[in-house]
Amino acid sequence: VTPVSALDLAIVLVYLGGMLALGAVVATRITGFRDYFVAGGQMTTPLLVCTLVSTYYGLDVLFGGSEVAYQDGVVSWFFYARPYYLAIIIAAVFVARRLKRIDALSLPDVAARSYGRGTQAVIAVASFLYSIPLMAIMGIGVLLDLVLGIPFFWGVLLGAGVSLAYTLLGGLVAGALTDTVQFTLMCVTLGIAAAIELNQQGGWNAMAAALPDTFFDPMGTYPVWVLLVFGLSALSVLVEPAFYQRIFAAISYRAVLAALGIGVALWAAFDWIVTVLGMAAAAAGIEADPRYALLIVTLDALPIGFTGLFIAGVIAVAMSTIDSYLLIAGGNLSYDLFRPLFKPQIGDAELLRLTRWMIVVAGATSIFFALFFQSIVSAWIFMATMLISAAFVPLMASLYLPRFARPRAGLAASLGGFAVALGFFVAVHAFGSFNDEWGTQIWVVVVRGTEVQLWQEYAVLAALPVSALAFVIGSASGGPASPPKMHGPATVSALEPPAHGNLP
Amino acid sequence: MSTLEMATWAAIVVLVGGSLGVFAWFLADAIRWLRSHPSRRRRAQDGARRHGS
Repeated sequence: VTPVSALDLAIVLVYLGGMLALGAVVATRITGFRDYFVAGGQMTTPLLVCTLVSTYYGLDVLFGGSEVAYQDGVVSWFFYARPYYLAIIIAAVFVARRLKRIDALSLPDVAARSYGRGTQAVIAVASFLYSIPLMAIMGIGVLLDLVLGIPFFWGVLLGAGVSLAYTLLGGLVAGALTDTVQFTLMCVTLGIAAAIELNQQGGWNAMAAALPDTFFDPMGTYPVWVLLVFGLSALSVLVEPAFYQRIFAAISYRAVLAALGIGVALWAAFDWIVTVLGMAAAAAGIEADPRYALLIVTLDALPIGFTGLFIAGVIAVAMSTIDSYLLIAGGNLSYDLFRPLFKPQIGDAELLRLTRWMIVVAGATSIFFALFFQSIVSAWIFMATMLISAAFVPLMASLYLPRFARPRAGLAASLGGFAVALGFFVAVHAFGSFNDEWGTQIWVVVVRGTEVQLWQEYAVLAALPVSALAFVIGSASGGPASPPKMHGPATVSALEPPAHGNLP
Repeated sequence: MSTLEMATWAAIVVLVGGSLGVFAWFLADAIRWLRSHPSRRRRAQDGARRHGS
């Protein structure tokens, strides 16, 4: 990659300083845990659009989507990305409406209402695992090394440190306000980069001529089971901790609906541009690690000034994910695990202080894993699978089948799904091997003389049915119909009401 | 112009125009909020001053 100019470097530094300043300003307005964790439940549509779009799209989408497009073409958009839009629309129309009626602050909190502390704890652990922003922190380290020449170790500390600082200071409000800048930067710079790149390649037809026909097959060359898993992974939207947190932070259901409607259009456009840039890298004959093909082709195309904006935009993609998930992971430890299990009567000020400490713990954990396990390429698959397997069945049942949502059923479903998914991953990694062609771990077993390939991605196909079966058995076996009263006076509803007006 | 090329230019317009539009909406909301809540603004400034001293 060509070295960046002083102007580009200055743009990146101004961006990083601006994010910190914003966090410091917001910190003066935080009055309690509800303010800190769900912005007092006062977020309006434009702020929701910015925070939803930027948070949910991290480097895994930017590098993962372009990697698939670089290797296989338009299948990246049709099967890797498109199922998510359907899941988001389902979530907006059905799930968000029900969630907005519940007085909860987090994903495990919803489970606690139907199933009690045991299920809440299992889902909190799965949510914590999912929310550790390992990939984003690793990505920012690689990115700063690749484009600015900052060594990986210092890049990780710088990227994660800045995100951690403003999240600690201002919680979700600071995260959402920085998201507005990050959202605009990432969308505008990517759009401009695509226009310049397309122009440099001599238009779409010239680019298409340099690519094989299979690049334009919507199904690509993936086995059908993998496409099914791509589709099923979109279910994570229905149990996504950041999605739940923003629904609880929204001022109304209408604001959520409008934000997700606008968000789907922006997500679809973003994914398509990522796909086109991945294909452009392949058409340009760039020989690189497929994950960074988009970065290389774009940085080669952009003029001075735009390069700095684009780098700031890509850093923004990572930071908007890091800040949001550090907040959620910290909340999982303090609000969803420590509070119900050890100190149900915890006061608001103490809970706020504890959450800030737990965010530091989550940040330190993420940085530790990012520094010591630089080659975890399947981390995201593992994290998403654990969350879907533990949370999907009990949460959907608590929203749509409340009659059957008994504490025993919730615990059986969450534990069963969690255990099977974990066992599947352990088995595939213990007995399988890494397949370079597909870039994943595969365990080949022989069943009656026929070879069956078990990809690590299939874990969710085994765990979800087991979780559903465990739920049915748990529900049929009786037990109390509702959890024992666990929320004392310091419950969510008793936490201080919002102290400020509607956030724009 | 092929369908995929048109889709690409449409995506660029949605991404750039849409994000700038949402950001402008956010700014307009923020300005309206600040104008319509003078007492809150004063209180916040007082609070910040006390915090600083």
